[in-house]
Amino acid sequence: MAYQTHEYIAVGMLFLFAALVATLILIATHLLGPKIKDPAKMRPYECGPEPQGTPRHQFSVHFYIIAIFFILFDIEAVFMYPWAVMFKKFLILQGFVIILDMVVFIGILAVGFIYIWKKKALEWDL
Amino acid sequence: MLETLSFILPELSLTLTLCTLLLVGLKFKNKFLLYSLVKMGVLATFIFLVWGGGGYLNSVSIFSNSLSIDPLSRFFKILILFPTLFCSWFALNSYELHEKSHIEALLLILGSTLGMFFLVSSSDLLMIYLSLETVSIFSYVLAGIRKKHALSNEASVKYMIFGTFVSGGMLYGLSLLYGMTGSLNLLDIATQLKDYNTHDFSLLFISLLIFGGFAYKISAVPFHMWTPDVYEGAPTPITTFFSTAPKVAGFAVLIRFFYVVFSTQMTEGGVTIWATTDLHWPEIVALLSAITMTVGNFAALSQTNVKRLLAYSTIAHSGYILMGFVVLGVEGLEAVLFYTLVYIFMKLGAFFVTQCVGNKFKNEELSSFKEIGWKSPLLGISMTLFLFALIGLPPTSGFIGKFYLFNAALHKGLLWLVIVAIFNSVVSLYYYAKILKALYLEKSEKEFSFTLNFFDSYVLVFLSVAVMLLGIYVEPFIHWVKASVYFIVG
Repeated sequence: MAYQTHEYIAVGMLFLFAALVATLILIATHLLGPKIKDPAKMRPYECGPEPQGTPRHQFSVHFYIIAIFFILFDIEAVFMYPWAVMFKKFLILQGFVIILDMVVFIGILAVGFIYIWKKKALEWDL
Repeated sequence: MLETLSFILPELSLTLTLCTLLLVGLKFKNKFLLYSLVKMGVLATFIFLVWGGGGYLNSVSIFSNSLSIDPLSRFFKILILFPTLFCSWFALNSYELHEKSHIEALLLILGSTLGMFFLVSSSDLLMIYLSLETVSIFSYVLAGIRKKHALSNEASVKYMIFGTFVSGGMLYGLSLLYGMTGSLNLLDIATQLKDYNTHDFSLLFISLLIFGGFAYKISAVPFHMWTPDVYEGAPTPITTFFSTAPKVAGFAVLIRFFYVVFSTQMTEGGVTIWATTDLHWPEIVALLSAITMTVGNFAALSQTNVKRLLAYSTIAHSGYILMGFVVLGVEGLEAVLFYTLVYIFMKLGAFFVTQCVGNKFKNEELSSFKEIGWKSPLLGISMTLFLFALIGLPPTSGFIGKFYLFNAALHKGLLWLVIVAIFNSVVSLYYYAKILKALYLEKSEKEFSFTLNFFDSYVLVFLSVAVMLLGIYVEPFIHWVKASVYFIVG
């Protein structure tokens, strides 16, 4: 299937053309634009007011924890998609088992959810 | 669908135990309640394994041939349950694990066990990798469960970096194997490989890469580097768990993989043997076995920390078991299975004694063992029994295990390997005797008294009896081992 490369040449040309246009515009702006340096223009932009302090401050590690939880429950949702697609057919063929399977799966993850709830991992200010 | 469920009842009961323990442990912190839950769950799993019948008597392949329920997997699952049960108790009674981490330690141990259950029955490349990673990731977290202790963190990081690197290599080998044969199932791969030109270097390379992945789990040279540091840094009950259960599971999957994929089964005169048709991995693994034994025993000679010493001893024992593994025959397989059975109890005992001493003196150096033999006779005698078993002296079970291994290797004609093993057993006498010398012949500087509470004594007596029983009353266990050597699933 990868041997029909003539179908993908159009995509390749589009990619090259887009990259070329972007590069050309950047180079043209750099070469043709005015080059007046001014202290006020060189400062970092902060939507108006004066920038205060350094741009680096302590990053809350809680972002990482919430991201991990998101991954876990997102994968759970991903597993529910094929189940939902086959649901109607299986309900007719084999009855209640299809619902029971998903209940067990969600149940195991719900136990984990109760754990992180009780351990206060969902609260932000800790 | 529901019929398949009856084949995975042990895993289901473990999952149920895990969930129940999690919910109960959020509310109640009582040690005995938590341990009773673990005990009931493990007992239920054991009952399902022994009396579940069904697939464990005649092999069954379930979940589109990714899991294989057969006597070999049953043997190893029963074996793995013992470290789970004992190490849960050890974890609840260790000075290194605070009350707050009790429930996490138990959950992680149970989760690791669940991963091992899937590992020993996996007959699919994907399942092998998935369960191996499950066990490994639980182990990484378990090694570093003492968050504020530098050695524990170091152990966890070393284990993780080394483990992910070697697992990556193994995954490369597995994917190459899939690419060569077009199938993930072990049996299909074996059928495909029969038509292959086995002089091909790539097949040898693949087999060695995959062997590396499993060799890391069983601490064989050259993948043994993590063992001393991780065993020394992790809390003692966790070390106990590492040195018993994952090793057993690693050997199980090693046997299943290499005997199905890279060997062909033949029956000569009623005896099943495996042949490898020009692929020279048995010779290479035999050489690695000899090196492993030597490295493990000689490096242990200069250790002063008992946990490090036992870690090197674990490496040496992996070398002995590999010796039975390269004998491609039923005798060798029975020897390996029996040796893992006796090895679990020896190691559980040795590490438990270390933990008792560690609980008292807050460190596990050899100097803490001084005069313990006189102050606490039970501890001294049981440690003596465990050490004699580890050396391989009669009438302990270690002797019978080593005898079967040497017997199998000699019948195959691997005389040089047996000579190396005997030499190494003699060398190992020195460092085990160092502990015995500290126990009975050295006087400690300070006066102290040593009392064991009832449960510790009970565990010690149980393990000592097990170690001696397996050496004296061998017949039923050998019978069980002989019945468990069936695992090729059609």
